[in-house]
Amino acid sequence: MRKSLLLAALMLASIVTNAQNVLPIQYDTLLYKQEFILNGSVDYSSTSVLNSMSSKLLFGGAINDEIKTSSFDQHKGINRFGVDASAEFEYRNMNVNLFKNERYGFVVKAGYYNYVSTIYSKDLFGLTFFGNEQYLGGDADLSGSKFSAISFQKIGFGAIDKKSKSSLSLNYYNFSNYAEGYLNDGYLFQSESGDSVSLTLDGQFDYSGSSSFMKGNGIGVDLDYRFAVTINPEKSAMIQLQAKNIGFAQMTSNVTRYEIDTLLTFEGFTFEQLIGNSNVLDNGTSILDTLGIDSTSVTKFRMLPGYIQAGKIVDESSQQRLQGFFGVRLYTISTYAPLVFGGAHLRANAWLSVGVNASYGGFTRFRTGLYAQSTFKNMTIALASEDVIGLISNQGKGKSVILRLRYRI
Amino acid sequence: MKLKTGLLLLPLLAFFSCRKEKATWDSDWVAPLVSDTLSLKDYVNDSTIVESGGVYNLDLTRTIADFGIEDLIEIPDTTISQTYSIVVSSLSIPPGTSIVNQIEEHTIDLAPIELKKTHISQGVIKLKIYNPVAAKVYFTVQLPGVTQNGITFEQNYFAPAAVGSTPGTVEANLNITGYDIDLSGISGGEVNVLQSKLVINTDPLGSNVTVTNQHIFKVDAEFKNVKIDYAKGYFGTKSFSDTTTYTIDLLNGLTAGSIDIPASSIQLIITNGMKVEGRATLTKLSNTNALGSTVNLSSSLIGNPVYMDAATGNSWSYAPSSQTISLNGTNSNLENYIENLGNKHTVGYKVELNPWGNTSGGYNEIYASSRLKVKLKAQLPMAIGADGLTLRDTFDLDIQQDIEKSHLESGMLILNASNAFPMSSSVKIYLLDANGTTLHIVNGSAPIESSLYGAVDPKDGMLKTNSEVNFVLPENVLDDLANVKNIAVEATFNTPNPATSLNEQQAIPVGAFIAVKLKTKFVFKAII
Repeated sequence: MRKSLLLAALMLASIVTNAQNVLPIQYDTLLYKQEFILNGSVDYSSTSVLNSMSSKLLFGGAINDEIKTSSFDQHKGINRFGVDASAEFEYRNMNVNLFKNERYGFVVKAGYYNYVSTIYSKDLFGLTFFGNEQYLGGDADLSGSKFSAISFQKIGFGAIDKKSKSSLSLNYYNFSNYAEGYLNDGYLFQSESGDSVSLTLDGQFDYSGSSSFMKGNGIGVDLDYRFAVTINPEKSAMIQLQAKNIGFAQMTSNVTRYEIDTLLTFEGFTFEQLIGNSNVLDNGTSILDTLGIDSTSVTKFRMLPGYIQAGKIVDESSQQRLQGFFGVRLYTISTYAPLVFGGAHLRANAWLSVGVNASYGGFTRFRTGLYAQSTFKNMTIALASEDVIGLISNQGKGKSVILRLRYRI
Repeated sequence: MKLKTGLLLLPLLAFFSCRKEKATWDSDWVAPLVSDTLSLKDYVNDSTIVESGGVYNLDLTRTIADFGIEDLIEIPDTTISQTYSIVVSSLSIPPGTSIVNQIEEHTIDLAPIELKKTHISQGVIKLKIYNPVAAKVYFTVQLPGVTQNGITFEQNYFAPAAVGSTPGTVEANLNITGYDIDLSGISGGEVNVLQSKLVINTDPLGSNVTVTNQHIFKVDAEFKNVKIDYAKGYFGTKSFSDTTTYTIDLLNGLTAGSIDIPASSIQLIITNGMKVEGRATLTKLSNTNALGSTVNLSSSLIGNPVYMDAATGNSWSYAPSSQTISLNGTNSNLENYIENLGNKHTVGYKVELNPWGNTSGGYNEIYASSRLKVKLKAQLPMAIGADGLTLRDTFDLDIQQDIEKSHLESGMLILNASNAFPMSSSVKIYLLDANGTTLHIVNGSAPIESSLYGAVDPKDGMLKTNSEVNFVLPENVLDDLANVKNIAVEATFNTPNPATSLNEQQAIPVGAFIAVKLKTKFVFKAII
């Protein structure tokens, strides 16, 4: 029981500390001495994989043929799947005057980010989950597939405008896991009887296999710039321009690069190859050689997986009970499609606000979300999901849970 | 407030309860493993299988002994030394005067061989000349009887003057390859005799040379590394005997069953290219098969010597003599011997030359290409009647399989064979651990059918049958895959007559093959 509670607490902490989502950032003009903000999200989404399957992939369980087939039928030529499990803590101190300037306080932040994302062909899904038997007598097109799995951490320090709550921080990043790959061309041709296979592959896969936690260093910035736009003399809107984790990283541990550019036709080994003096069963490296896969050690310099977002945010001080918000987000991950979002925010009473939102893009297509926010004396708690259907239905294509805690003094 | 907060957090806790198990799914895969064609073509003309009359013959022919001149006669390194000194106490010899020594004879130690003539195929003479007088002297060294194209071996050397009691010397290495040597001496009736002659010339441009009877002129001629390719004389009594073993790897994998082969014979053929008479004896013939069973060939011919005539003719056109000891089903247990399918054959023999002494009057003769060969010859038509003939071979295998991780769950090996051999084969696969203990036996679903059950393929004119054999690898077998370190493939052969289904002798046609395509069909369980 104690272990379960501890585990639940850890899970909650990881969720609580994440925020790459469309839960509306609220513009709060009140000046506090200090603020503690925890943002967390676990969000996985797909253009084609139903929750009945993705939940098994992520949380375990047997994926039977019915589950696989249901998702397979949802697939089109090119598909996306992504997991974003991230957490961030931010401390704002507006009691001090940074640079001896009364306008600026300082902000300290730390975060943990995990991205797994892929663009893939329907046939790659079919091969992975059904095998090649269903492609006998035909071909499977794997071209254009990409894969990326990155985990990194950051600590940052910056300045915050006490009035507008705009902030800018400079961050240091540590890469703890890194793997990326792509297939420019990939075709699998098989004879009807399965006794002949032709494989065309042109691709690359980079992988940092070091056991070290610190596999790379990076530097980047977070920018949160907020400004009011006058709509009419009696009405204005708060606009937020946000850039998060924009920068570069250099992998310090060696990255193993597997490259392949080959057209391979295989009809089977000869007996001499199987049972001769240097038989292929005794020599694993000869398989790589046979496939024409070159392995080299490379150093890697890459852009951080961050994003830029611009949009209208909710003004907490507004007298209007119903407000709209909207925006667009662009990630520096090539597997992430530009995301547009919008929604409506309703202040139900003094302590409770609720909202709905819709988005299109990212790792999926259209999604609808709900959120609720409770404001207490010193604390605000917000809970949201960007994918309500996914949260409750196996026919959804993702799940999203977002939590934000904000404590102020 | 606590209640409100709790209500908000509760869904999260419920939703993200810990991951209790791994995600698993099965996928179905098909992959080619082997594509190859096995035939006897690779063995043809490697002295195991030969083509004859449109069918293959198992050729057990082996040369088990081969002797030549180098085995009979060896010329030892020999030094002949000739000296000369005047008979008077002192003599003043004018310039340009020749002092001719008599021919001297030198016997080479070759006994009991008595050579009259020989021809050098390789060798040198190392000459060393000693001049005892205090004036330079010309030496002419002659070796009468040592000739090339009719010209006697002769070499001239200038020897420097002696200094005090130290003679002036000169040395030379002379290549005598290609020279004929007459070893019959001055009289022509001797054997093993070399001749030499020394001529000493005073310097025609010098002054008188005083020579005393204390001055000894000397020539050493050392015959070194001499090889011959022709000899005439009496070669002595020689005896060669040995027991030799040869293997037929094709039969290494025999594990059970029997075969029936047509009546045949084995011959021991002795060809004698030397003009030497002799006799040969087959002392032993046995074979041991892969199961360890040994059959000795028993016959009255074994142990009884046969006479070998000497070859006839001359070096340009000599005719070897030939003797054959023929063993067959009537004078031996040959059929048992052959059907034992021995992969290891042991042959014992004894060959004697001049066993009755010098009966040729010293006229043994041997040429460069003269060989005395003992050959075991047996060509058996591969008309084999196999009845459960079982061959087995074992190979290393090391495949990692952890059922707690992604692994092969179940599968099947599918063998498609096009068989042009007139025999059927049932195949079993034994999965063995590191100690050779059988973990699992996987039986083929059907035999590979004999070609006699098929039809003639117009493409190549071969009678052939197509078969599909499945080897099912269930989950319990694949779960043990990590423990499998060896795989033994056992094939049991039969040669059924399609009309009677009884195993009969079937001739293997030239060009027979079996084309094999082995693919695997398996269920892969992914666990992440």
